[in-house]
Amino acid sequence: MTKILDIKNVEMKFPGCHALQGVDMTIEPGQIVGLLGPNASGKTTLLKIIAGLLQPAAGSVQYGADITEACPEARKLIGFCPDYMKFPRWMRVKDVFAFYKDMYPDYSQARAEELMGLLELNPVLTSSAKSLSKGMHERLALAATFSRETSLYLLDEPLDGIDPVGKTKVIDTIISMQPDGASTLISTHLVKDIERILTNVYFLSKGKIVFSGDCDTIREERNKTIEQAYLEVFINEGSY
Amino acid sequence: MQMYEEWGQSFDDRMPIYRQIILRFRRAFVRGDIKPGDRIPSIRELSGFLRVNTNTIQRVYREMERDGVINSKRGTGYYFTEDTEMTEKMQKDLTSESMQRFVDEMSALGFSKNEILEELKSYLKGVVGND
Repeated sequence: MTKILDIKNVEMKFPGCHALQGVDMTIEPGQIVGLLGPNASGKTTLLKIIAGLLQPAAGSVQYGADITEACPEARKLIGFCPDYMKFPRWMRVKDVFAFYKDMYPDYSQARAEELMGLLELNPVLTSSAKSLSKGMHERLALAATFSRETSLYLLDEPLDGIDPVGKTKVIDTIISMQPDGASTLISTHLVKDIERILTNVYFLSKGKIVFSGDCDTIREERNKTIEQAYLEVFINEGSY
Repeated sequence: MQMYEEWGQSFDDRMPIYRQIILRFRRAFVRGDIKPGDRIPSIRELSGFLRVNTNTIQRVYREMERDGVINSKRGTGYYFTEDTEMTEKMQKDLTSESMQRFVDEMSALGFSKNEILEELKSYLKGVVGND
């Protein structure tokens, strides 16, 4: 099977901080992968490297069969939803979709409309995007990201600051809007909320992948939930 | 469809989700909630009802198809088997699996086969009463 993403030995350094060390990761079509770790473990840095927004100090990032580095071509394949999407002051909610339509050839009006329904954005279409509550702001960012029909979605902390009803809607959106054969990489520390939709997980601690695997295999071998496995690994690591 | 939505609310996250779904299908069938030849939801539909990844549902259907529990008819969807041998086997398997679990636990408590039988008899008398 052709991999959607294949990362080998990625390194990243910031002044006084070895942010990522020897990170390997592969993502296959159809997977929903959890990148799990506490704050400051390097999750966002890794997502930004995959999204082509940061250049790794070393290592390789391969997309699909042909693209071997993070470049504009790679960016076309990726729907990136940062932990806080910034919108200009003048933009209303419906302008955000118009902007995506202009920017991305893989934007789909049908998908956008389905998402506005799923995430209940229709009542706020003429509101200023900047003035939305945190929960609605996250929903808008997610809807904009999934309005594109692409092969890899990167979601940075999509459940942060969202109430329980909103969380269910976010989870329904990820499951129902991921196109066949596409994959999603989700960074979060809210493991319990999301573990059921994940197929695979990578645990990131202080810039290193300390554990990874297929979720059902982890449950089978350890008779534990992913959250329990997570707590076990990170308490042993001394990250908490 | 309500049945499937209820399944989604009672998973045990410590057990592989795909195995729990297969078990629910078998139970629903043995109980008669699903009848031979019934159409079951598409992979996408079930994924939505259960709030589980489509890859997991694909694995469920792949394993059930391999075991002859369901058949896929091209273009129309997945159907539960009408093979009576298969359905009898499923009934037997589920029964012997529950028996095995019960006997294992009783044995672990130190009961012999005869004692287990006697315990079960007196328990059923107590529970069922004047049945």
